Amino acid sequence: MPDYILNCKGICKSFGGVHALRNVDLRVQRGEVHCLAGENGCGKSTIIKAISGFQPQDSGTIEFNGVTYKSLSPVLSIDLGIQVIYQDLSVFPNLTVQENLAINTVLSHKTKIYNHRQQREIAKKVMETLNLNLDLDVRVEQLPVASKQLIAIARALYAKANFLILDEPTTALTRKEVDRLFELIRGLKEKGMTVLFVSHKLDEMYEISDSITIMRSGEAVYTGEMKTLSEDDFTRYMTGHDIAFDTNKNPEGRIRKDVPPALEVSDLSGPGFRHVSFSVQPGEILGITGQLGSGRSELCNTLFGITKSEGGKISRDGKETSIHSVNDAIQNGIALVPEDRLTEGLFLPVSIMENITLVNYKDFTHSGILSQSAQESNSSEWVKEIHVKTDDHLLPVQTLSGGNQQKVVLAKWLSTKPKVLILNGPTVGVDIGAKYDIYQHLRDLASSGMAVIVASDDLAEVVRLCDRSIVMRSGVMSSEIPGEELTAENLTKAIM
Amino acid sequence: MRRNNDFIRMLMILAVLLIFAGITRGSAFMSVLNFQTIGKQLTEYGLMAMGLSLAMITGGIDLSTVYIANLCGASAALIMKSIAPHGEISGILIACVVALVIGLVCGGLNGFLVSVVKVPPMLATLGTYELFYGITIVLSNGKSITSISAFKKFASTMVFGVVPLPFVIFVVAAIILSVIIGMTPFGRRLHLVGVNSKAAAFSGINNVRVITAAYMISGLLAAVAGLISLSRVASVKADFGSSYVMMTILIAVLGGCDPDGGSGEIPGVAVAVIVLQVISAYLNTISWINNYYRQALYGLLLLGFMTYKYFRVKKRR
Repeated sequence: MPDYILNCKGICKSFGGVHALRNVDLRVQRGEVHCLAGENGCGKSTIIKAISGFQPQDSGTIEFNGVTYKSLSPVLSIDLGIQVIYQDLSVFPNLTVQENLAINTVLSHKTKIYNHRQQREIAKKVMETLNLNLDLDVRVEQLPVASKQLIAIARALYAKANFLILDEPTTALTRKEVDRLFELIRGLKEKGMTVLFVSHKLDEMYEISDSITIMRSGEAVYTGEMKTLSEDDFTRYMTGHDIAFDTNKNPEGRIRKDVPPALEVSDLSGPGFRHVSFSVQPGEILGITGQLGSGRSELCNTLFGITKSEGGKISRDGKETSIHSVNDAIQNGIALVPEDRLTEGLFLPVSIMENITLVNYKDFTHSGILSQSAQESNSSEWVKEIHVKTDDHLLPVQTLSGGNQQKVVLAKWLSTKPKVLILNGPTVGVDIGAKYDIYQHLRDLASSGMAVIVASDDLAEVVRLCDRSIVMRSGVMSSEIPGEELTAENLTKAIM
Repeated sequence: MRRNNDFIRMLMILAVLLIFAGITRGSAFMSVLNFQTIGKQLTEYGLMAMGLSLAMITGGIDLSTVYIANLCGASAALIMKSIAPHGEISGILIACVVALVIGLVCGGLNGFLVSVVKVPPMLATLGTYELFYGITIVLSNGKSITSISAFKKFASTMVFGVVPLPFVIFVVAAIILSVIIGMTPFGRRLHLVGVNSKAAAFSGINNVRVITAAYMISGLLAAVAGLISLSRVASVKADFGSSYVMMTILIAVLGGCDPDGGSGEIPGVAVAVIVLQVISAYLNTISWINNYYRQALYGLLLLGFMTYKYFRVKKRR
């Protein structure tokens, strides 16, 4: 009889008439790392909110440490030792590391006087428990995401947690930081901590988890040991159907070698990168990979005219050109699907239609007046073309799921009929189904003669999609990996 | 970008107000003369409220409009006095053109501070407010400047014998702006910059150009308002119309502009201008309501409306 620290039985929750959770059972054994997987909107966060007491379930029971509760409240949940580290990290960016680490204790003390020395001792003690080494006087907003996360975890541990929930902790981390986090998790596990790890990255789940629960459309569709679950089964449980993505890239049929490169960059420098040279042919899919801060995103932004280049040459179809602004880039047939969809790619409260058509206003303008009907017919064509799942393209784009939002960004830029399409992190936060959809689109676009550049730190993505890849490391191009050597192992070696 | 809702709501409020005023005050309110007064008085702050709305749509605010108006009015008055003391048309025209150019330049300065130097709009326009106010004090030696008599006729002209010319200017400006803001790519970009300026930059929208244009239009409208008030009041003073600052904000918000940027259309704002002037005219007909209450009432109206909006948005989520 396994020893379950957490045993949720028949959890139901609905919002309005929508069932977010239907009879979900979630069992986590004491001292294991349990993975909770599922696509966006499958109910992962809803069940976490029930466990943390933030949003109690409608029916069903939660058994924790052998005691059955009808529902939990946030206070009760914290008292039981349940701590959640949310994606958006509940740290205070304007306070120092020390203040962040000590804040819980300080707040719970009755004294109103701010005692610097005592705070420092608490903070140091917290750091020791995790073998952390951070400057206590730095303001947290100046730290990278990974460090913020460690601070949040440290604080949770100091609050005597014995059940730690990590909500998509690796989204914004570099590979190195992920390794460090996993090391930390393994260390905690040895000390008897139970961890519920929410993720949708398959390789990470295999690496860290002992067992897994997969959710789909508000139901738990699979529970079992991690190592007995095959990759194909995983995809099937996640999406509900088999997804075939042709692994044969067939580059010979696509890449046009008889013409000058669609984009050629020589000795290009800009803020965050130096002396980068590469070229990409029409029909080719080129990868640019490298860790966070390697200059990958900066290179993309400079190619698109967001930031100014500081020397070097850019040629389009063999002719030298200069790009001083985004409009220059658009004129040159270059498009960029930016890294952060939510802040850079989309106008969230604005309609899907407007988001798709706003880069092409001049096509819909007659004697100065914008024709809404022309915009709408153009937009509905794109919605159909690129399979955006929506009933009404006049709805705000924020009503869409991550994957469909990304398709809107893609449609927006395809509508400018680019010759060179740059995508920075094309499938970040995109569920598996939409991800393969996007891959297939990119391959089709390349086949139609477009040059595609995929900048990504998702190595599996680069391997699966790209014909060859250049590797960036601390602002310089450290190597180029040709197609036949493009494997996850080689890439891992190259980016470190 | 929601359209028309605010416009229709304001129209309904206006209709209810007129019916209410008609029933309770009868002919004291429902007279041609009263409506002519309403039409004449609303133009100045109406124009400025529409200018401020453009700034608010981009996510900013323009607190300096009243002082741009006074600066332009004072400059025009001084020029007219020196080159058209007897009401020469060419001199008056030159003075008006100079005033409009000054309005554009003042607006340009606001736009530059907000979009290039990236001073928060509230502080930038509060700073220029003080600056334009100061310049006008210096120009006028702190006293009021009277208008040449020929220019006074302008504001009291009745089009077709019944409609005050200032009101016609207001309506024409409202129509032109409604088209620009509601139906052109520029208007759409104005909204987009207000929703998310970073995404706008990543979409090839020139934020600096769009924002500067918004503040320049606001400056131009203020200049027109300054000229009208110079003609209507027959004089201009550095601190004339200080209470309009608050009123223009109130109107913009009532008319449907979101102080956070990204939403607002001119028709709603234009009707809100009329609504406010009707309320004000109605209060004037009631002898036991002291004029001193008006400020407090406007404050309450703004806060009340913002609270209402907040709850409505919260409910929708």
